[in-house]
Amino acid sequence: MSREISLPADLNPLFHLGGLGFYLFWIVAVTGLYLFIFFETSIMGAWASVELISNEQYYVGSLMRSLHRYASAAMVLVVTAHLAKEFLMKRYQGPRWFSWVSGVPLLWLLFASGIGGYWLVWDERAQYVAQTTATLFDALPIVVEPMAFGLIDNATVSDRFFSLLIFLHVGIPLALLLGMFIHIQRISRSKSLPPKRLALAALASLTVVSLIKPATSMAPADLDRSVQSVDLDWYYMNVYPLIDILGSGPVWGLLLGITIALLLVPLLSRAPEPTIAVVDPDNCNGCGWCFADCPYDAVYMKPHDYKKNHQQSVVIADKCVGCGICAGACPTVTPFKSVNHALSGINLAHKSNATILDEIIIDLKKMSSPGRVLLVGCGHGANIDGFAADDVATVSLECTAQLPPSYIDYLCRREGVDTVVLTGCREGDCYHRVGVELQQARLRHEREPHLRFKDVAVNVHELWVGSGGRGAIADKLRQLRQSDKVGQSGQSDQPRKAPSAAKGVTDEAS
Amino acid sequence: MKLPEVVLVAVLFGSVALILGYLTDSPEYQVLPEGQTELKFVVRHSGKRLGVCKVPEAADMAKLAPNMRQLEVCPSEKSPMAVELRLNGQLRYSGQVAPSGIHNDGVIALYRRFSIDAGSLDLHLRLKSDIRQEAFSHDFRQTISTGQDSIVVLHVDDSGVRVYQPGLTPVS
Repeated sequence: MSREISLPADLNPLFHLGGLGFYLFWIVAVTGLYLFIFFETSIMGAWASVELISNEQYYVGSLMRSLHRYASAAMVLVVTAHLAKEFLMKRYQGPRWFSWVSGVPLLWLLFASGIGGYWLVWDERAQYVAQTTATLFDALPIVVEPMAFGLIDNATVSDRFFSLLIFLHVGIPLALLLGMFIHIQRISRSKSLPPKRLALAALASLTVVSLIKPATSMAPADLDRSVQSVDLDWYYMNVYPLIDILGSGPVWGLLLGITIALLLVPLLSRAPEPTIAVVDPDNCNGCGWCFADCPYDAVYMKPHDYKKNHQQSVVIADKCVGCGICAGACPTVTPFKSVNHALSGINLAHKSNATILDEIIIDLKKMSSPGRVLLVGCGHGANIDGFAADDVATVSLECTAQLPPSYIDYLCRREGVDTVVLTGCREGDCYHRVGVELQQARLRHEREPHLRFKDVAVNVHELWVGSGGRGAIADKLRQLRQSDKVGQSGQSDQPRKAPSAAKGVTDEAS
Repeated sequence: MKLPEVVLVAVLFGSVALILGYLTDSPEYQVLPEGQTELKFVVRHSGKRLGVCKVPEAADMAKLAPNMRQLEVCPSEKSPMAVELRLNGQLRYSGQVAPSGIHNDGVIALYRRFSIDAGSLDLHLRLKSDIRQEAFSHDFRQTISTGQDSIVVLHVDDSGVRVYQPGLTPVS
C-alpha cells in the first residue's frame, strides 16, 4: 500500500506565513543593524563601504549582507503567498476585514523598504532604480520641481541625498513594524514567530544560498554615463520595466488600481452575517475559558451582573465571527448534570449547544445498528453530507472545537456511541486559526475542558484532512466497519496517548 | 522525522532557496538597446508673466497702509511654455509645460529621458515662453557626436539652452 509523504505541520511554510513574515523581518533588521555600523553615508563612500563589508570581513560581512538581501526577498515571497492564501480562504470577510485592510498599506511599506535599501549601495542598479523612481514620482501632479533634477549627473548629487536615504531606510521599516503590530491587533494568540523547526530550516536555507551565491554589487553608479543593463531584483523591482515601457501614468494607475481593489475586497463578497456568540449570565460561572480560547479577542471578562464576587463573559459583537470555539470551551455545559443538563454559559445565537446535543441524540435513537459512529464535521473541512447511515450519525459544526469534550464523554457513556470521528481543517491550517489545536489539547488532557474518561479517549479518532478529505473520511468509516471491534480498536490516525484518569475522576462526573 | 520527510523538506526549502537566489539578480534587464545612450532633457525656467504690471491709482494707494503701497502691481500668473523637441528629425516631445503652483505662478519645470542612438545627434528645440504668441520664440539647433554610454544633457533655463556631456568637455 502506498503511503503518502507529507510535510509535518510545523515545517509547512504555508501554515505559518504570517509568523514567517515577522521572522524574516527580524532577520532583515538584525543584519541591517550590522551593515549600518560599517556603512558610509556619502556618495564617494557608500559603494566602497559596501564592497569592504562584502570582501574584507572574512565572510561575516558578506554573509550578513547576503542574509539581509535574501531575507528581504523571501519576505516578498512569503507576504505574497500570505495574501493569496488569505484571499483564497476568504479570510477577509466579516470582522476579519480589519486584518485584511490593515495589511494592504504594509505592501507599500515593504516595497519602499526594499527598494530604498538598493539605493544605498549606489551601484548601477541603484542608479537605474533611483532615476526611474524619480521619473515615477515626478509624474504626480503635486510635484513642484522634479526629483530627477537631483540625479541629472554626478555634479547634482550631494551627500545630503544619502542622509535622506538612510533616514528613509530606517524610518520606513519602523513604520512597517508598527503596521505589522496593528495588523495583528484584532486577533488573539497571534503567532508572530514560526515554529522552531521551520525557523531553523528557513534560516539554514537562507544561509546556504548566501554562502553559495553571495550578494554582490554592480559597478559604482556614474550619473555621467547611461546604464545599459541591470541585474534587477525581480522581487522588488518587477514594476520598473513597466515604467520604461508604459510610462509613469499607466503604472500609477495600475498600482493604485491594485491597491484600491485590495482594499475593496472585503466589500465585494459579503459573508453571511455571522451568528455571534451570546452569554447567558445565569449559566456563566466566570471561569474565563471562553475568554482564553477565543481566537479573535472577541470575549472579555467583567464583574458579573448580579452574582457577587463572580466574573462574567461579554462578547464583542463586532469582533465575533461565530466560530463557536467559546461554546466548546464552556464547562457549565456538562450533560451529566441532572438538571438543565445542556445549558451553557455561552452559545452561538442561532444554534445552542443544547440543540446540537439534542439533534445528535435524536439521530442516534433512530439507529438500530450496533457499533455506532459519530462523525463530526467542520464548516471549513471536508463536507460530511452523505455519510450519515444506519451506523453513522453526523453533526456539522462551524468549527470542530465547538464540540465540548463533555459531549463526547456523554454520548459514548450514555447514548451508545462507540466511536467518534472528529474531522476538520488540516493541522496548523485551521480556518479559525486555532480550533484544531485547542480541540486536540482538550482531547489530550492538556487544556480545560478536557475529556474525562480513558475508555472514551481511545475511541476518538482525529481526521484533520482539510476540505479535500472526503475520501479519507470514507476510508476511515470503511475501516471502522470492517473492524471486528468497532469502538474498541483505537485505530486513531493520530495515535493519541489516552489521558490518565483525571485526578479523582474515574467514573462519570455528576 | 523519517528520511522521506527529511528529503521532502530539503527539496522544498532547497527549491525555494534556488528561486530566491536566482531572481534577486537574474535575468538581466536590458535598459537600453545595444548602441544607444540617453539624453536627459531638463527645463527649469522662471516663465513669463501673463499680465502686465500696473501703477495703482492714487486713491487706491491711499486706502492701503504705507508699508503696503507698491509702485507697481504685477499679476503673478505665468504662461505655460510650449516645447517641441526633435532628435535626428524625429519629434520626441511636444507639449505645454504649465508653471507649478495653484496660481500658476511657480517655476516651469520639466524632466524627460530619451534613449538615442550613439553617434551623430541632430538636436532641434523650439520654445515659446508665451503661448499667446503664434510663433516659437526660441529655435535651437545643434549637431553633436555621442559615445555609447555617455549621456547628453539638454538644459534649458533663464540663461538659455545648453547641451553638454557630463564628464566630457562641454559641447556648448
